[in-house]
Amino acid sequence: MEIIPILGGAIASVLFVLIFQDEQPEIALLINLATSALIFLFAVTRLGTVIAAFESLAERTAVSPQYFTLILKIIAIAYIAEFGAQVCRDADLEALAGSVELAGRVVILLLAVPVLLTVFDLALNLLP
Amino acid sequence: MDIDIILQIAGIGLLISVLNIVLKQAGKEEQAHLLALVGVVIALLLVIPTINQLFLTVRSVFRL
Repeated sequence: MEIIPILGGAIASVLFVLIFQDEQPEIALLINLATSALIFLFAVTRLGTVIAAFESLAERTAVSPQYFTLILKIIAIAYIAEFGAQVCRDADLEALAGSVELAGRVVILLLAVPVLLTVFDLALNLLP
Repeated sequence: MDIDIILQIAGIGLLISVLNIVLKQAGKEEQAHLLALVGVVIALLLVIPTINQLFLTVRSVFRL
């Protein structure tokens, strides 16, 4: 039951943020940032074992490993962009959050374009 | 889930708010604002290693 300390940390940080909301909004934001980073760190370390399991599955199939690492990269970029965007939203900076998300999408698209091209070539070869 | 960083930042925040009130009573408004700035900088210095560790872990887990 590793969720209990996480919950404890989250509630403690909510309390501290509320305490510092009025006098020092910067300290409140920093506590918010630190706690979300810690919990995110906890989640990512647990995710490593899941990814190792998926990788062993992927080796058995005929899929070449480079596509699996590409998927992992895209997932990582999505997580980090989402983390950044949410932190910006916490500070009520919607425009900044939107631009961070847009940047994340563009980076993901950049990674996905080569795969799209190979799929397109394959499709063309199939046609008579 | 090391919670000591959160407690350290909260401690700095409490210290800053108390000292700010004292400085304001003593009439030294500029020092109060400077002190708030110093407090935020110290808290930031505490948070940055955590964020750095987070990005390094994500990089290692997802093999970026």
